[in-house]
Amino acid sequence: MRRFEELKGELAKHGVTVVALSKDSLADVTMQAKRDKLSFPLLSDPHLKVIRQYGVEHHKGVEFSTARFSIGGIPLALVPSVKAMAIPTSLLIDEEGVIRWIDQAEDYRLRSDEKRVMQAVQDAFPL
Amino acid sequence: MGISPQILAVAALGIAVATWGFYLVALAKNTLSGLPWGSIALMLVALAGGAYAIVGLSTAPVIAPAAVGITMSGLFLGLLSIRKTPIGAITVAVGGHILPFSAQSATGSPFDSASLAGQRVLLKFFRGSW
Repeated sequence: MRRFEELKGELAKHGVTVVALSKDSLADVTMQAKRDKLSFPLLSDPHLKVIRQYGVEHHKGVEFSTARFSIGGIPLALVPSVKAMAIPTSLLIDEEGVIRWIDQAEDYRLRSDEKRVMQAVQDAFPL
Repeated sequence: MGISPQILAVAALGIAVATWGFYLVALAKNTLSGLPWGSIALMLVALAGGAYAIVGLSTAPVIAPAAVGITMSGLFLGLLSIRKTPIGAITVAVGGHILPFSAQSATGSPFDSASLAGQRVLLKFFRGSW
């Protein structure tokens, strides 16, 4: 998400703003927005309401958590666990609410590539 | 075979730990592309080395590092095997309208997709923070 913060200037040239949503709790997204100094809306969908509405739920996503084993708040290990989460998906939407581009990661390990995103933005909303 | 099972067990553990480390750093930096064949090969070596060490000498100083090495490399290969996301269930399409939604924003205020009207938006569904 930090990379999208950096991309913000480029996106703004095309008049595009970023909105991001995940299954993280409100406390988690608040922490992330502060930690990564994100200025775009970061949305919390802990019950996967929106994620399921859009059909982008990954039932067996693997998440690495540092929270489970800790002594005095110091994490001891990165513990992988299987969780329902969003399939990384980007939707480019125009002023009318029409979807102009959809990008989904075939491989959940990999995240959206900036070049691909900027190319799609350029194609949909040329300068 | 000249290598002692002890050394083999510790080496298997070392390879598994180092490969995990390099892999997670690459993942965080987003420098991965395609399958990490180097990591897969190293993990297979760790898996085989650990197993060979245990077969060669089943004593505690061998089993402990070898078992951890086997677990770590096995986990790596197992996780990699389930990397594909089940795409196909998406309910929206290019050319169609977005579905109205609402959620909580990080500022604590409710967010309604109606507020996006008249704006060009890149809506990102993401995995969540690490």
